[in-house]
Amino acid sequence: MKPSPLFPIVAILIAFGSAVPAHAAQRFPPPEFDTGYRLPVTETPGRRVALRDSLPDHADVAALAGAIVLATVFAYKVRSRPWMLALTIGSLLYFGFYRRGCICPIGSIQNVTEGLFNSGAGVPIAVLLFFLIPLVAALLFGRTFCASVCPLGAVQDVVLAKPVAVPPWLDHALGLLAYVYLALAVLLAATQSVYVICEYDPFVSLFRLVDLPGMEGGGPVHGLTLAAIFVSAAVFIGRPYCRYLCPYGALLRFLSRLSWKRVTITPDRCVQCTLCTDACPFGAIRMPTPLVPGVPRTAGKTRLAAALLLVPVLALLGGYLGYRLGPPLSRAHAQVRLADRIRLEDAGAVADTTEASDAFRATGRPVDELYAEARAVTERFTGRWTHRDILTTKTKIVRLWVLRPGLAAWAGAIAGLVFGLKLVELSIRRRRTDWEADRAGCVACARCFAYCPVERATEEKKEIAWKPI
Amino acid sequence: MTEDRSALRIRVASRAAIVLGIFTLAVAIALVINDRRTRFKDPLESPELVGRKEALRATPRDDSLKGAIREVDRDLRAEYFRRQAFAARGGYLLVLGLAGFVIAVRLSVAWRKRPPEPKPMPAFLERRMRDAGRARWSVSALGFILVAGAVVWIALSASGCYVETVDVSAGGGGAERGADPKAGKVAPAKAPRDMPPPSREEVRKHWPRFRGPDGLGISAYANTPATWNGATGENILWKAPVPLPGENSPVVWGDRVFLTGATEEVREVYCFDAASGAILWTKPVETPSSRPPTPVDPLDATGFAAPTAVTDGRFVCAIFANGDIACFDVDGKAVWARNLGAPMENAYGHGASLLMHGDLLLVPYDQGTDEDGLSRLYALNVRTGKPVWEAKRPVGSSWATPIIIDAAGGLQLIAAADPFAIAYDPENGTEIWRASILKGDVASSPVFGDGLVYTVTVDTELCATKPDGKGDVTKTHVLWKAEDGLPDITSPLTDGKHVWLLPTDGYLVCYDAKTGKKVYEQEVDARFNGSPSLAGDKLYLLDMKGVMRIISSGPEYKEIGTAELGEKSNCSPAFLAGRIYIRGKEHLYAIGGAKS
Repeated sequence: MKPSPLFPIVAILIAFGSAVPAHAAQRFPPPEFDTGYRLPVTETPGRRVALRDSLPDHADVAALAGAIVLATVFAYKVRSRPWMLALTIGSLLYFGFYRRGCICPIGSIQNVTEGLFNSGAGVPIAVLLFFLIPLVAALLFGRTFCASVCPLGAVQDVVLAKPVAVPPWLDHALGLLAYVYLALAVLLAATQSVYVICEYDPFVSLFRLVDLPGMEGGGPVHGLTLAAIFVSAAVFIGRPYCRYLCPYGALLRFLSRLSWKRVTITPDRCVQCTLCTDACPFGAIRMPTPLVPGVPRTAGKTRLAAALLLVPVLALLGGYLGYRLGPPLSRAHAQVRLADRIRLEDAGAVADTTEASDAFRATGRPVDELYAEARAVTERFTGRWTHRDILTTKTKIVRLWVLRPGLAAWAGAIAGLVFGLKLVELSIRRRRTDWEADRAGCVACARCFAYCPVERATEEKKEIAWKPI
Repeated sequence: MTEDRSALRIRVASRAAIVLGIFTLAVAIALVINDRRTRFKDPLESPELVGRKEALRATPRDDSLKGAIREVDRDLRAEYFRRQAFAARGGYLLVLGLAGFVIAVRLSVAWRKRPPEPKPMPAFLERRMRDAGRARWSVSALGFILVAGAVVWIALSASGCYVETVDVSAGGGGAERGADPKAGKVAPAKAPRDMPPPSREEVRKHWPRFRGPDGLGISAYANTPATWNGATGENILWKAPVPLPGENSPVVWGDRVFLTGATEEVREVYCFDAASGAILWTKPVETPSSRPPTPVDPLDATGFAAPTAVTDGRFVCAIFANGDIACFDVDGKAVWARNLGAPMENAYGHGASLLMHGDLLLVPYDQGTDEDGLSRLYALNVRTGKPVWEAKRPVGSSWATPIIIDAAGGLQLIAAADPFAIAYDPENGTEIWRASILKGDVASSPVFGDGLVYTVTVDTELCATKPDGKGDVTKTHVLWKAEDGLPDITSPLTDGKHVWLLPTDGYLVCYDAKTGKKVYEQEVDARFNGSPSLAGDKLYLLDMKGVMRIISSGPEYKEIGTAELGEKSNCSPAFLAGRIYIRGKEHLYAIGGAKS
């Protein structure tokens, strides 16, 4: 007999249960009394340290690794949607509401980037492992992290009720936004400007909405607005953030194309029943595209050649646009904004001052020093001109000026490259004989297994084999 | 399960979803409203509480007021914590409501779901090719949208919507736009000739002329360094050699420092990068071909480049001993040049510096005696060099630089020479008042503080004159006179409370600015050619050996510290935020608190 679908849910919930910490007291400065009145000392029971606060970060790493292992087992061995859903709910509760969405592999991109580009910035081991473990898992088994471990994906997966199919042409285009977002996030983290992924995480405000005992709840209204928009969209569109914006998903998509193993819809061979055509709410099932004799391929080859030629052009164009966008992008850095503000105030263009400008002036540091620092930051974005004298004569010097591109130019070039490679991908005709899960798009959620008659037949065989005599 | 029961459970789930959805939405709205009210009602900043506390400061014994404050404070705190508790409870309700809504919706959808049916086999290849074609177009369209957005953003950044490109203090805005290969790290500042002249407030943020923005030797910034050592490099940000000699002082606008240098044959204007000391440009000044060069023989101590240049962030103008006067924009592009005729009747060599007023370049050009009628005050259009007005002055040679003050309901240009201190309307050169209070060689420039004009020569007195008169005010508007510590070269300094005189021999005298009563006198064992300066509450006295004495501006002589340049200097320093620029005999120094 097949176990009840509710059992795994209950099991996972118990497994992820947490201790109940004491409720934290609010702090508020007492009023000042002139008469010598003394505020009575408030007696409160000693605070029990929340389990959350006492757990080391490595416990989270272990939980992450364990959850990915479970997801892989549920996708490959057990092939069970109920177990996957249970794990999803458990991950949402633990990594989302309990650990409040931090640390997470998506945000860890920034930590690792900052550590790579700035010698003074260190990356904690736990954060590095959070970054690497899902990537290694994707390289081996595909996007099993996305399946039921990522709390952001879990929220979207859980609320998905009435999925609407996104047309493939739109799906392909919107999916590129994640790469642009990744390039931007890496750029801003490398220049130590802002952690934009964390700043605009649409779900972290939801995770921190609940004032669990021992923790302060609440979040900014704009964060909750973003959460409301994405949660509402996720009710009808399968995993909109994962598919179109998640920068970590962009990395996982790339690596899962090279994965050692891949999730299959059928546990055995595809019988071409077409029952799974509409099974995936994320548009990750690819239909067969057999080669048809007699269909001319010249147009396709020409298109492919043009797409290949466009790749370097788009990379260069992206690089140039990135270079030109360097100065405005550099304003994401606090030093550059402060220098702007000081300049505005000194020029009399604004009447007021800000806390930052007041604090700066109170330090007594020369303004020119600030301007020099801001210029140095901007140069990281735009690059710097260097020169070499290539010919010296008695009357003239021929000097070659070369721009060493800054990080913004590289980010733009990579974004352009991605667009070019996408056009190449769309120009390649792949031969496919069966219904398959797209390696890059499939998040291994196990929804499609139940649609497959071969899967059902396999399950029935197991039940017959298992049934006691 | 029967169809009725199936339909019933679907109906129940659907209605539960609706109810829970409405409930969740209501809780969300309530939380938002609560959040807005909490955000804007910080109990500590409540106007009611703040107002009552202010009232209590005025009447500290008012018990009823104290009681009222306690009540208001208690009520505000209670409300604050009530809202916080509401937010906490609301968060739980929202999450639970949302969870219930999601469960109900999913159950409703799941129970309505029909088993999948086999689909007819479409033409997969054709469908796939159609999808791929559409996808290529959509990817291209998205790329085009992103490129268009980037171009618009770049255009907006470049058009001046960003502060860097519309910076009115030329020289500071361009740097953020990236390095210019020809100028090294500093991008050339814009000096558009169509830009209007800077306001007086803007001018005061720089050091645009001799002795600072108003010619009074007073820094707008108090955070100037008080210690440095040229030999060890302590607090020396950079030290740049000046190609040609000159006794003129540095002027600074934004990230540019200007100096001039000259020999008998060559005259040059220099622009230094304020951050690094690199020379951004060097421009020769040549006598216009319409006039043959007139040889001059100034005193060695004066040299060929004694007058200090002037800048307003758009233009920089310089004048030399032979009467050559030139104007460049701050990028070094020549605007105009002319020769005013060598001041042959100036015994020591031309030393009065230039000043600007709006689009007027004001050139004091005193020479000879008061009877020779050779002295002039010229006003040239700074954009073209053409004369706008010219005032014939009934005075002899002088080496003082005029100042422009705001007094008696308008602007006045105060010029000092033997025998008169004269006030002119800077717009048209009309004389407003004069006072016969000067005699001999007038090298000290006038100063103004707290409504009084101070003039001094070594052969007469220090005079404090009220500038609100008309005509000859010698007998009516000279408030007081003093005779001690009269300088021969340096200019006085006043902060409105005191007036300091520092003659060459170092006999420093401090007077009460209002009464002329001597406050103190101090013999400083040094010789001075540079005029004293004031930054905050610190006086800076630079002697000829390059030793800076920093003293308190209080009513008694109190030395705060000394700093050695390591090089001789006859110039007056320039003071900017956290920095001092000093010209030594051979180098220009930038002194600051930290290396840039």
